[in-house]
Amino acid sequence: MSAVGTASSGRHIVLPTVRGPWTQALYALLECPSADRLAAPQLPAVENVLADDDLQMALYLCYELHYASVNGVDDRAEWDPVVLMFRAALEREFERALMDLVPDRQSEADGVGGELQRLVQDDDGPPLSRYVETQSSLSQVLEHVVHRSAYQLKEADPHSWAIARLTGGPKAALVEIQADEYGGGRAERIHAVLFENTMRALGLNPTYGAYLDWLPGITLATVNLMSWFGLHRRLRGAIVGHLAIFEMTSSIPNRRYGNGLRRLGFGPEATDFYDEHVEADAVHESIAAWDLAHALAAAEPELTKDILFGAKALLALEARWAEHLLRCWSNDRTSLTRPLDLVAARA
Amino acid sequence: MLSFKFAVGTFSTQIASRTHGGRAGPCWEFKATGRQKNSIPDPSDCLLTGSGIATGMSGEEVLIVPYQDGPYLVRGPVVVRDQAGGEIKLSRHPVALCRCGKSRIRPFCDGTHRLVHFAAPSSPETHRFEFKVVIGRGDRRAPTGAALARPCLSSEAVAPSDDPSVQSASDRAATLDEAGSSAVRRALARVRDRLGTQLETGPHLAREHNAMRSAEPLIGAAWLLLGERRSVTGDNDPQDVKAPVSHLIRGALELLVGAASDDESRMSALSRQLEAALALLERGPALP
Repeated sequence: MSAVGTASSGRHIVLPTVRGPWTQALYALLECPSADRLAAPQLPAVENVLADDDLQMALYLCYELHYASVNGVDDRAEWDPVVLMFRAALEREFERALMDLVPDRQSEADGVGGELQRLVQDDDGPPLSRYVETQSSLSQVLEHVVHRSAYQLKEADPHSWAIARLTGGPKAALVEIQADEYGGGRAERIHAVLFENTMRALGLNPTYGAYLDWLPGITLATVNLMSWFGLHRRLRGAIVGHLAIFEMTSSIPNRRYGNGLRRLGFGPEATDFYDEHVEADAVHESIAAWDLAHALAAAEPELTKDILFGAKALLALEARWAEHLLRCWSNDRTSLTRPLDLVAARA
Repeated sequence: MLSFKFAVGTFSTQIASRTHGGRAGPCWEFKATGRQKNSIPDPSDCLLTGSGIATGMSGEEVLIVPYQDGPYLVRGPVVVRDQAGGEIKLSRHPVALCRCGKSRIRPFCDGTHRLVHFAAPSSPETHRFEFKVVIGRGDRRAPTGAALARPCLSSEAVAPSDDPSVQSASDRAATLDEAGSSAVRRALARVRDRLGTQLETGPHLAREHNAMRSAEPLIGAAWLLLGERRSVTGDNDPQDVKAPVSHLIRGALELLVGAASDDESRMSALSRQLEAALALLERGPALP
């Protein structure tokens, strides 16, 4: 029994430093055997749930149990009822905050495909990619990559949860996208692997989870959003809407990020990840918007609201995240929880 | 009242006065008559077997799907060569080929269609732009003839820009029913083709963007009027549409400049760009 699910290779993370009562409570749950526990602890309310460093890290780590092994934690913690109960409490907070953030607007008549196009056209998120393309310093570019490592080192995985929950055309469309995300049969072209290459080329540590202690809640929230959507069948509409907007808003910013790296003198080994996404996501966006999201809404009209919720929630959280980066940088501060020690950070 | 009549529907706007939802102002509407051939097609209609494009293919078939406002997606065993016969390597399947013409990695798509607001339906376009433009005022209706049996664009009197009943720039921000506007959208795409890059590199705040969207129908209508008049008459300087075209463009200009009014440098930059656009529009589109 003990050998099952305890392979020595694969993803491992080390629990980051305790950030507050939520991470502390989680670590206590992860440490002691289930039988010794009665219930998830009652914890103080959090004011800004969507940007709280402690709460978002606790939620991120609850989800990490599904993606990776955690050093010193029994792999069975992934399905430990008490841990799941704790996660559910966090998710309730997260959901409530998102509902407050995302306006519940009725969709317009021409269907989900058209509505998604409109959301993208009307999006007035901060011009982060332009800034990176034309102005950012080397340390700012490195910070940007560290932020994104929270997702890109497991790129596409949160959306893959939805494959088993879809049928017919939408399922085929999602698999078509994910197959490309995972390298089209070539392990070295898996997008997460391309991101590792970028990190390495920039002198950053590409190890999965290496920068957890640097990631602020506002960044973790953007990834928690997809894990939350992806792990709940009831939210399959939302993860589909999330993916559609993600792909539809990807090609142009990625070209700019690549240009930013070229401006700073980096070569193809650093820009490959971004250049790949310019072309790949130009393919994916049409499939995701029409064959996946639009077709899912046509097949299951009751999911329309969720699809649009997923789309709007992504835009809202990404905008807040980008705003955070630009605000910190304009004040000459680090946008991470602590400055990137470039010497120590480099592999 | 300015109205555009197409084979299958009618756009109309009343610029002078009309109570619409309790307030006077212009109103664009689209009335379908007969088959709705030029409504925006639903790409899901194009799905083979109704359950997704990919699943509708047999193994060796090549399938090309133009996506609404987006690229051509090509699935199946296909070889792409340049005109000298050299193979153009396809790094993925499916492959997206540029349809807007503005990609920087042609022949492949790089998402630029979104920046240039490329607009095209997924299903085949049916309009051949054989419009007849007839300009008249009041009851001086232009004669109709055999030419009008074809798809027809007609325009009656357009209020001059100093008309007191024209309330404000925002009132003129006619919201055009998108489902009926494909001809105008195509006309606009041609404007965008020329102006897209220019606008893209300019100031790009959300307000301006929204204003641009509001201005689009006005620019599109102006372009259509001018272009079709020229193609019908062969007249390079069609005086009889100058006034309405100018009126429409000025309306668009006011909207856009109005959106940027609290920043003087941005406003003047935008204003310069749009004056240039106006000059371009007044020269008219090239004849095919």
